[in-house]
Amino acid sequence: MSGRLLEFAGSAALGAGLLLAWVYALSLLGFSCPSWDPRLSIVPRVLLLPLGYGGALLWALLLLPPSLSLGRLWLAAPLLALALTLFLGDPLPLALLSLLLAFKGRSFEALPAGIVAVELVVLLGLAAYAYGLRLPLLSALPLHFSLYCFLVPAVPALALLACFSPLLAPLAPRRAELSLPVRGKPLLAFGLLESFLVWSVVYASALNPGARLVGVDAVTRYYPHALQLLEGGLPSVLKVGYDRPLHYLLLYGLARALGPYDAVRALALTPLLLYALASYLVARELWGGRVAGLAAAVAPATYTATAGLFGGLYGNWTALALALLACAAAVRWLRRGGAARLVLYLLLLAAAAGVHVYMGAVAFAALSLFLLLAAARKREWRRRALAALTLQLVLALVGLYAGERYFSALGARGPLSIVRLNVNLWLRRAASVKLFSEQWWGDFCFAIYRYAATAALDPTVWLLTALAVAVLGFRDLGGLLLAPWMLLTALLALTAPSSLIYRSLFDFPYPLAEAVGLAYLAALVEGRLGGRAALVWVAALLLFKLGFALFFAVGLAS
Amino acid sequence: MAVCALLAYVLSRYPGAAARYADFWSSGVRVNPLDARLLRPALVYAVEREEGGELRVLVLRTYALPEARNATVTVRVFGGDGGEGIFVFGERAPPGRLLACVVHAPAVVRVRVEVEVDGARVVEERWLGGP
Repeated sequence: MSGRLLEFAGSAALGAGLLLAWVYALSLLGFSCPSWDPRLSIVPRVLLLPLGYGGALLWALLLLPPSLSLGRLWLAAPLLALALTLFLGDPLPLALLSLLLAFKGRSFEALPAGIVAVELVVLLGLAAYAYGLRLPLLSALPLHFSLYCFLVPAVPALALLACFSPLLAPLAPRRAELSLPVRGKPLLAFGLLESFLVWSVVYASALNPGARLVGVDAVTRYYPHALQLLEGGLPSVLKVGYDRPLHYLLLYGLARALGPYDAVRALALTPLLLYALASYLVARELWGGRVAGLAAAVAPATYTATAGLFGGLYGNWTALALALLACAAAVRWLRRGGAARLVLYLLLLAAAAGVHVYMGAVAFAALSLFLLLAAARKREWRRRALAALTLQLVLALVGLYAGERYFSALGARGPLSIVRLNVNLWLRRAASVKLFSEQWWGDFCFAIYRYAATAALDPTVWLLTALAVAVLGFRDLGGLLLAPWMLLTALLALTAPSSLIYRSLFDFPYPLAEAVGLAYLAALVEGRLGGRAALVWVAALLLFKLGFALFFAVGLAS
Repeated sequence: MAVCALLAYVLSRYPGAAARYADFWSSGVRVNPLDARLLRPALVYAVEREEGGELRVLVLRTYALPEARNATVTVRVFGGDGGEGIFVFGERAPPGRLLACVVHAPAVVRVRVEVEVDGARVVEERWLGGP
């Protein structure tokens, strides 16, 4: 055990050395990394490598264990590089030695081990900052920024690549192995803990001592509406929350129990926890417990969470989580039958629409396509898929008709008119849009960089999603669920006005795709370098994602 | 082949649109990693004369004291005739931000910049020569 730890420490030391060399190169090129600040909006943070002579000495010490592993003579190399660094007044020799050692040693293991070490320091630093603890930690933020800032110029293109990923399926390998050397349940617990941590950084930390409301809709919609609900009582739920009645019922209940202010804070926690749990349940049905655990761990650290917290999109987010629960029930129904599962599926889908009409409509369309494709794909699924599809269509028509009549009688806008209004707005926009022109790209870039306020800048979201959707294709149930859902999201996002692009991108269940992407990468690494290397790579990517989400949450709260 | 051609067409207009956001990912700021000033909470990156007698002081908030979010920048300008002026800026300064303080000082020959971040004070002086 201690031998393994020592080996990991050696790898982490070389990885940290490599990362230092990487930051050195990026800082020479004058890179910066945009981040969110509530008072300044978007701040480009200059990438610096604050070494000083003490840091250079530390860098040389980090290179001692990997040098030793190459032979005693190599022990002189870090000292020589340090001497040269001091002589030249520039850390180029240390950077070159790090690269040389990486080529000689096991750099594919060292790099992720270094990322794990760096991200642990970043997370510890962020947690200490959030909870007002003054720990004598070196700021590892430049190292964290260096992991993605060089991809920031390409993020809108990567988001578009994810949108196009169903079309990339023919280019992907025919057989996709998914593997993960970690069990699912501990990862589910980790995901739920992450959810709570992200929420508590925003609402229960030293950064936000007065528990100021955070998120656009939290301030402009939920709090004033909670006051209206308390004033109007239960009947006002339908009038005030005509496009999300069930969510407003929850808000009303919370406001009665906790008061309007704390109700909105609690409302932010609901989708975080529910989304992690729902991602776990549906991924378990589709790909088994291990990928499911990964989906739960990714859920609080993906685009849905960052954009959801920034926009205060709690209704959309909760509806998306309910739609995922409906997916889990649908997959069970297709595979095993049982009327109770079918009823549960329909109820959950209806609940998703009741929580947020727009999100419910998107989920309804995605699941209709899923059922259609499932019916076409396999004979044993056909009867059940068509039964579910017919029933959900009937339910939707009856629901729309009844809702329209009921809301019209109340003098409020009914679901049919909301859908009609939105469809008309969308069609008008879609008719005038010139896809992929420079103007269109300008709108798309504006949405990704400015409107989403850096929430979309984690490149792993788009890369892993593109990889997973392409690799899954339209083969198994997972692919049949994700590919049409992505096509639908792409259709909405690519034709949306610039103010709605980031919200349209929100409509896709990224944790499922990212978990598959990670498990696919883990299988590739395991096949070539062994299970331990796969584990370290998965840990590195997960911790990076958590670091990104937590840093974003800290930015929102501070 | 068709997919690749489609992607190439789609991405052909991208660079022009993305270049508008170049300020987000490229600061052009370069500081030698061994510069000991990086271990203090701020450093004076540049002092530049601009047209119209204005003086632009660029202060770089480093990653030391990462929890501090605000800075007070005091720019004291000394003219060749013995005149003196003081300008104080209260700035939001998360780590990594480049602050620009512009003052009107046409006859300045010497600048003294004091930056206070969370109780820690950094002082730097620059001689500018004649206007």
